[in-house]
Amino acid sequence: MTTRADFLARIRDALGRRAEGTPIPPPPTDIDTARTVPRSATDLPARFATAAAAVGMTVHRSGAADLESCLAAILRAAGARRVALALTPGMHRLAAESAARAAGADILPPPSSPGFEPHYDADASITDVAGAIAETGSLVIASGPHAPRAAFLVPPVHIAIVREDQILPDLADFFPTLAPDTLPASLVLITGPSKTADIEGILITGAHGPREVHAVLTA
Amino acid sequence: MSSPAHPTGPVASAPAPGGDHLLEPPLPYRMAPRLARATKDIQLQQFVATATRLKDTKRIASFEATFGDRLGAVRDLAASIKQHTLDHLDHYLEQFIDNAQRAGAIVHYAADAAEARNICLRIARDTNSTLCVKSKSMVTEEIRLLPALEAAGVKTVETDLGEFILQLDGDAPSHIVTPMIHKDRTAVARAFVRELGAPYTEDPAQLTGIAREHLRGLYRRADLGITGANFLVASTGSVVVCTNEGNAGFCISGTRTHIVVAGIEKLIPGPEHLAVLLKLLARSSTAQPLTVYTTLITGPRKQHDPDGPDQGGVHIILLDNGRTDLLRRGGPGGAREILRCIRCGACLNACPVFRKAGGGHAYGAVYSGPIGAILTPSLKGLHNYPDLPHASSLCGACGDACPVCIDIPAHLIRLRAEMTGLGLPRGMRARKAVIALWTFLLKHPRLYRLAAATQRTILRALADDGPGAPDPMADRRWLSALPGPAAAWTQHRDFPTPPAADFRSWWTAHERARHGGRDS
Ligand code: SF4
Repeated sequence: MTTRADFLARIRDALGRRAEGTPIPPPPTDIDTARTVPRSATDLPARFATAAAAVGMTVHRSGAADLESCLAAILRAAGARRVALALTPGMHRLAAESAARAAGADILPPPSSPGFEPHYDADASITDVAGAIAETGSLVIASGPHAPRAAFLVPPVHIAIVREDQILPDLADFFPTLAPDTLPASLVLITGPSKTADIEGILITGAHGPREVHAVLTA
Repeated sequence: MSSPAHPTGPVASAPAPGGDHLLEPPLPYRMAPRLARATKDIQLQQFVATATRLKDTKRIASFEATFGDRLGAVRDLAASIKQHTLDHLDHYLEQFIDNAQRAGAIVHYAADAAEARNICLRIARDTNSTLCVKSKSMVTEEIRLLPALEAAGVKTVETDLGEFILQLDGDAPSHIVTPMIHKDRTAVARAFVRELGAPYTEDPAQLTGIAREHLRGLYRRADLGITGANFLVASTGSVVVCTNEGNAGFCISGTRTHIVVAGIEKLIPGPEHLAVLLKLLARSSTAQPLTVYTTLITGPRKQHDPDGPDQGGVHIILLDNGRTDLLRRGGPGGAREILRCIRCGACLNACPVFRKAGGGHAYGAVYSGPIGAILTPSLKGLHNYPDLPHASSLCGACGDACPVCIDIPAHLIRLRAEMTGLGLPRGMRARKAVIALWTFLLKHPRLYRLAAATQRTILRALADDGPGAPDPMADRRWLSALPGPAAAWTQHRDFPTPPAADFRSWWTAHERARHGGRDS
């Protein structure tokens, strides 16, 4: 059996390097070279909406007051009978619960682990996000006590509530903020509905995950 | 071996002898037989050409639109991030291992493929796993993991749609990103009827729907998930997995146990570097701004998380399997830089030889196309893959496409030179004799002219396409069959003869005509 020490010793030897712990030069840091949206951009909701639409998401804009009716309308259009919720307690959760009631849909209990049950029975989910990226139209979803991973993955329709102040300009503004102590077990950037082009290169949505992703932008 | 808790249904996991045969051929592997078949298969040529050309065009357009003339600087940055990490890989691996362990992942060390397989089998046994869902990963193909799991009684299902279909068909991937470019919808339709009992349909949306439902039935019962990794982040201990379909999400989060198999070259220093590399990876592969699901996994689920793998349920297997041999050769142009590869597939899509070869199967190994032509001989031995460094016209399209600036043509030339040093290539002695003869003739102008005239006369006498054109300089003729060992050339194309007159006589005549008027 190869031990950590053996494994690393071989690598150190291959690199022709001195003892463990020898200081090394810093890695490249000019990440801004790859930036495509300026840090100072002010039209982030509009940029996010354009990018999200380009990757196949449906974008809705809603005031705080009509969030509930906006969510209910999406649920009704999807014909959702059972809804999974993944929201921290607060205004958004209350709005999502009343929207589900208004649309006549049942709210499913949180999923079990392992296996994601009963989310396979869900017709739609409503989640909040940990952030969003204007550059790519991505939703950032972190796992947590109120954020099961099944919610954005298993139901065929995923509705994400995004506060406009959560939108960051560029991936270069997002990734440098991640630190080991605050990272959730699972952090996912979602950029469109589940897709495949494996059969003759023809794009099909809903390969394994959601067929529809709705981003609801709200104040 | 299935326990009552896991009833066996129509699990799509027939052993894939075809797949094994294609990726693990007897060694030394010679390309000729598969090339001969592929070049005759017009349909295959069309499938592969259409798929790769489209991706190549889209990639170029998307880079142009996103980065414009900054593209060079962005690629240089990406290359320098990967190169820096490789140059200090021991340091970053230590850091990664510490951080991954702190997050609760269990890290394993595999010197070679057999050890990696054994670690997987041990984990499967220790967790009483009987049904494994697997996300597409080249490194698990490299270690031939699936057949090993199946042999140990663990039903293992490929969940990427393309790989799923290949598994049903006992076939192997022909491209490192889009594995099924050598098949069309009718092949899928037939496989689904035969293996899943599905109604016949050629509609890609319906076919995808059939696979979706079938695989969901398996996800619900699976107890083990296996994925590769696109990146390992040293400063956080995170594993980054990118998929478009979302299948990896089920393999990562829906089962009790998640095994990650990753080559040591996947390391990057910090999460900030993802901002550069992910932008390039998604655009190079499929011209997307970002892969649909970009997942960072940092340990098993936390105490109050409702789902995700158990405590102690996330295993990361770090694989060497020949990589340190490449690492050993640092410096400019050394083999180490091949390890920068992020497996985007852009070089495959750009390569005219890959197209003509009908895709990846011709390369006789898991990694195909231009990157395969340099990586496979480097990992598995030049003597085992003597043809691969020659499977290129050195047109340079691969190097131009590479987002991490790997000078693939230079490595092809380096490998050819190494083969010569080893006295390896086929026909080496014959080649040497030809070159010696050539050198001799060039040193003796009169003999050279005589030889040239002789071969011109003979070849033109042998030409079998009727009389040449009247214009003496445009009168190339053709031979459809050359004698002896030269017959190999005319098997696939005709051989052009020299024109009736050579350049020297044309020049003399031309000069005489030009000066003739004045002189007389
Ligand atoms: S060699 Fe470069 S272009 Fe080819 S797959 Fe690797 S990163 Fe992509």
